[in-house]
Amino acid sequence: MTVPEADPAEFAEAFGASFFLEAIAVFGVAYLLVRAATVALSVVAERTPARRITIKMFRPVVKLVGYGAAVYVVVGPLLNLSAAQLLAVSGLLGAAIGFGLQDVAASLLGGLVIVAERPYRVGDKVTIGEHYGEVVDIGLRATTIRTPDDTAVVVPNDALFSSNIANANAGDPEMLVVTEVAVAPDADLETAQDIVNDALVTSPYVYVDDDHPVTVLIEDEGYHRTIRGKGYVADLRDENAYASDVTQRSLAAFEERGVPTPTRRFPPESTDREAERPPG
Amino acid sequence: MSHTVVRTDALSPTALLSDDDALAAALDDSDSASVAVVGQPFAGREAVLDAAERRLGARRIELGPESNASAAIDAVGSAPLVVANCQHLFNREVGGFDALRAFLDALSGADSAVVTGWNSYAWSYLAAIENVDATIPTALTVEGLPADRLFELARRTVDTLPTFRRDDPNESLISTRRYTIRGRTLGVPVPDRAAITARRADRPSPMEAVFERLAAVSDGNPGVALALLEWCRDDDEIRPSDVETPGTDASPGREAAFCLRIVLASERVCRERLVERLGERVERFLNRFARGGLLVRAGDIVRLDPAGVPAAVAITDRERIL
Repeated sequence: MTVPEADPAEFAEAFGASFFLEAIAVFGVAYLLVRAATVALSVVAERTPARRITIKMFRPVVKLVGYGAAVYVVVGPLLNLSAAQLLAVSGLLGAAIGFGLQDVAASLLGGLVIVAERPYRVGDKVTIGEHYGEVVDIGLRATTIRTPDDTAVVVPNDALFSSNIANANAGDPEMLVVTEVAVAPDADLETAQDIVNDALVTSPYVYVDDDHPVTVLIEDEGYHRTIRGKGYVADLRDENAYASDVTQRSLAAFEERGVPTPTRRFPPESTDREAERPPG
Repeated sequence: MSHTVVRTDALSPTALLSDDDALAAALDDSDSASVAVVGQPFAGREAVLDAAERRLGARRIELGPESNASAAIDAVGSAPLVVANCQHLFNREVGGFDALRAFLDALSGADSAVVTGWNSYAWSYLAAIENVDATIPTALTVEGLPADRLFELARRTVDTLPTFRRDDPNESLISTRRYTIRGRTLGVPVPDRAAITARRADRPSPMEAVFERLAAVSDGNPGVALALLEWCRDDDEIRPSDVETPGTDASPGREAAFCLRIVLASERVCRERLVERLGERVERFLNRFARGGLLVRAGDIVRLDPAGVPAAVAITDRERIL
């Protein structure tokens, strides 16, 4: 694909049907290669859970390199344009970006910043603006987040410049999960604390070492006490399963050992006491 | 499926520890009243405990899935004591650490030596969640044996060794491994280690190659290596390429892997205990693992199969179960 220095008629001829057919072919090949490489990376990542996120980090890089190379092959001939032709193309591009594509350009720039600075990676649990979930894809233009409700949210990459981004695990496969259970004000807090601690460390999902300790805190909420357990889940995709497992077994143990909870103090059949039930 | 367990009298405790004098040094150290002997299942920590028992003239208590931990707790006192299989002091459930904590409290106040034996997977878990390594700072790790030591052990303990045959050097250097990706099974060509070894100019004898493979697969664990030798032999013959581990390549899921980890860290466990912890679906997990050769069911007791240890470790490590 060469563009000769010629008059406007030859310039138009250079950007004729054959140019677009070649461009489509180049982008098609690039798409297939990028697709194959990203699938291969995903397969390898899933077989090595401890390095899952590190390996998936290369997916946006593969996309950037693949599609960047395709763009270079297609647009490369523009570099041979004369000054007048280059000015015409630049003006056209500038007008397009200025009037209609500025958001796309900002998103593409955001994609480059994400690849370079890595504020989050594929597999991380992040909050971008009002959306929380697992990053399942980082494209050049947008990032896809899967929420706990299994909804895919596509966030333009320029949100990086305008929104706060909270990353729960910063590239690690494990992440902190906070579980809260409430006990009555007169409950034996030491027993309740031991129960929650045991529930945290005996879960199938837990990850514990010196850098990832389990802690249990007690907070006075006025009408009840909150036992807040903090533990790391080995695979952040099990965040909800870990929290549910700890809560379920803690409550079962409370009942078994006679640790009163706010709801247990006021049986539903007692309407007088039901009226006294504290809020929350 | 064979269930070979190495006789402890066939193992030299000094060969199992990093230093010939490690046991004597640990027992003679007046600052440490308690010593932990930590080893993989079937790796021979019983032999080290036997040696400690003889050296101290100690009383010995064997813990098991159905034994009462209070006997061990009460026995900690003024006389030397050896307590084997301390992984049975706890259960992975809420309230399952009471006996362990009472035992550690007793150890911290012990006046005379107490030597404790621990499954290495239970020990690393307890070190992470209970700081057991701080309460028992002197820990002797049972090491794996090299291939030549494994051969010597096999020669002394196996009734009839198989005939060692060389692999066919004409077989392909490439074998096909099958992976399932998004419901489709793909064959991926991978180098065949056994075939490559068979073609090496300086290839070892078939016997050496078999024991090198056994040492690599079992991580030098003598109980596992001898069990694999029995499991892999084809009647009276064995080739290096015959040495492989039982078990499935497919991931069984986190809960099943957790169930397997409990068996791996306990070595023997009551089925009822697993049902209490994981529900009736445990039955499916146990049947699957028993069919795969990872564990053995005998009445209400589920016990780890020595030949299944490498696969059990791989499955549970892949799921990152502590």
